[in-house]
Amino acid sequence: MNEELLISQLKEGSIAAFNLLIDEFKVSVYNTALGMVQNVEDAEDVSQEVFAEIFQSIKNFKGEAKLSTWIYRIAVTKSLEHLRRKNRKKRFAFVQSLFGNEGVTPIKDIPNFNHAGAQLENKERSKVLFAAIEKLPENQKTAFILHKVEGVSYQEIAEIMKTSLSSVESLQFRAKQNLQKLLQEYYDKNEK
Amino acid sequence: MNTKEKQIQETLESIDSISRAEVPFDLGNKILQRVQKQNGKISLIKTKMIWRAAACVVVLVGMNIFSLVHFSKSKVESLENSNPIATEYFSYITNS
Repeated sequence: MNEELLISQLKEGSIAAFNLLIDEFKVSVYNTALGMVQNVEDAEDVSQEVFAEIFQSIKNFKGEAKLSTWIYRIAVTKSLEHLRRKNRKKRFAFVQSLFGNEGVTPIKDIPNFNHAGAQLENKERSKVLFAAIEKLPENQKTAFILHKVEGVSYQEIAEIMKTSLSSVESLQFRAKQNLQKLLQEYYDKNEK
Repeated sequence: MNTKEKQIQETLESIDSISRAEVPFDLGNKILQRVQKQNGKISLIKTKMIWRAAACVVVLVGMNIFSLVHFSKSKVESLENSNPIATEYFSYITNS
């Protein structure tokens, strides 16, 4: 089925067309969310939110961007919203812990996230790398994950993030620089 | 390149060997369930229903206004008409 036909059927509310859309995009959406939120359950939850949003907003899709671009944009937005919610909860828990509340889990500096797609010999390295990625600013993280994990081109990332190609290049450059710094700090700390 | 730099470089490059993670097998079903549930909620307040309810309200208000205007007029008329009859009917009392 071509994209235009799929979109028109989706706009009519066809569940069969929606099933096709899920089959075609669930891997991209799930992996984008997984790279961003770094938690399997949360990524699953975000993916559900993304498709629910697609189903609701497809009527407003004007076709100015590619369907995949529009879906990636929703996936990124929902992942960032999820992270912000989670961070708010963490901050609240931290403040509570300062006032001596019991049962509050401490904030971890480096999460123990293992990407399912990491090769066995690179498991430890990718764990450290994802911990560093987590510390990147939102826009650098988005650009880096989309390009390195999802293999999205700079041009499409620019469209997803509604920015210019040069901005994406700059974001990638700064992301790499920051990652190098973060890894340097990590290895300095762990050497002692 | 010293050992630490090499370590950092290898860690950075480890992302290139990462493949896409497999999607949980029931994710598609969960998405469909969620959407259908959400859609069910939405269908409870479909636009058609809203228009129908609005039309009903308009008709009811219209009927009320019509009856108010029409019956208040006839009441006034009947009151106006009833007075001479009553006067005439009870005239024997006043006459006697």
